Amino acid sequence: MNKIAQRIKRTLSVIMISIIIEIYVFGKSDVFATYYVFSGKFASGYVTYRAVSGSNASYANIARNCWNNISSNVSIIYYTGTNTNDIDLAANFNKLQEPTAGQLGITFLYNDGGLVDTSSIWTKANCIQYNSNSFENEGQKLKTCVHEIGHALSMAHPGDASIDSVMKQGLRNSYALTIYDKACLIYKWGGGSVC
Amino acid sequence: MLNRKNIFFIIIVLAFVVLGCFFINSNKETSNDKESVNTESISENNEKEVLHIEGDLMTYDYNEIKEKADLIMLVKCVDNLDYDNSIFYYDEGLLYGFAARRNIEVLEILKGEDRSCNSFLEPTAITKDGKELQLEDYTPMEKNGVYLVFLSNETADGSYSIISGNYGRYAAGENDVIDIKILSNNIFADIMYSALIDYYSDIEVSEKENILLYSKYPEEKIKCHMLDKDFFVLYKNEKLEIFD
Repeated sequence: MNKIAQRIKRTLSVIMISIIIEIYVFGKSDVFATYYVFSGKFASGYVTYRAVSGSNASYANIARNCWNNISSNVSIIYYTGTNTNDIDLAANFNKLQEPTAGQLGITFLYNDGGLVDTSSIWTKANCIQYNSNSFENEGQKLKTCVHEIGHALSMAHPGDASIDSVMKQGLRNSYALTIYDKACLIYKWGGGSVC
Repeated sequence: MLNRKNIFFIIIVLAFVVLGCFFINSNKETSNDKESVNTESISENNEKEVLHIEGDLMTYDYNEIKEKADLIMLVKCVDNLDYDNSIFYYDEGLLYGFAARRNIEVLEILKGEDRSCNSFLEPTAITKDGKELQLEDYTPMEKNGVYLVFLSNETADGSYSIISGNYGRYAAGENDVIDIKILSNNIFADIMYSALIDYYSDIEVSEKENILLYSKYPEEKIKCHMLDKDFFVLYKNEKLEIFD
């Protein structure tokens, strides 16, 4: 009897330990109960980019680097060739004023049939950060650049106000990806561990 | 040295961890699938093909958008959205924006001096092949619809435009008649409520300040008068309720 009681005790303690480990390792996953991503995506996560003439190439480089080295299936590479048709992502940052007031940025997605929405497969994206008077500093501008490239990579606006993310709308001083943003990219593209 | 029992327990622990991870990931996938279903059902219900274009918009509370607005007006839209009043903006051969210039009849000017404004831009357009572009979830104004609009001319061509999509446009009725059902259905209920209190109620200044400056919402209904319509408003649990 004593042996059986001891075994039950040990088994229960093992279960307790494993639950504690799970809570420790995955404790934050409650925050990410939902990943807000588009159902569509770029045909490939290996994307070439180039800044549009006259736009801010430095912003484009910083913003694309934010999304690199997170998922092994996503890489945004500077296009060095001469055929503009080979550019997958055109970055038009800090050059043009917004067509309607309050717009900070926009992303247009295309496939061979023309403009598509976020439920399709796209082969090209045109990311724009407007040179809006609403921006108060460079960090806010870069946040919109990162946000727009995020849209091109299928990241949607979080539908939950409590989520800390560069994909939230509006002004934000930091352009750094949050834990949620990185987990969301991996959720969509694989090539890494969400856990 | 690990004996057989210890190895057994380690295997049990690892099994729990792996199962936990699998369970968490399967939950996440379910949530995302629901989102996809919603997107598809929306597009199936629309007659024309609608493309929702994603972007980054300024967010506002009532005082911020009132401050930002050059003009706040109650207007009636007098035309339909079509390819002819749609505008597409290009740079280096690439599309960088769209809008539609909509003709309006001014019913009331609530803020601003410019009385010559008889059209403004809204963030939507119809392409040559008949696709309707919508910025985020902004839907175009309907002909004869009555709208409360917050306008700014900080735009590419200096024209007045609605500010930040749904933040700057509130449906109020149709054919010159205020409809409380339409009024109740606006997305940013706090801004709609504050605007009604600010411009269409006759409550005391101190009470108005409590609502507009300190967000102290009264528990009782407030009487408003908009065009020829009397109604009562109540803002409770972040929802706008409107009564006859």
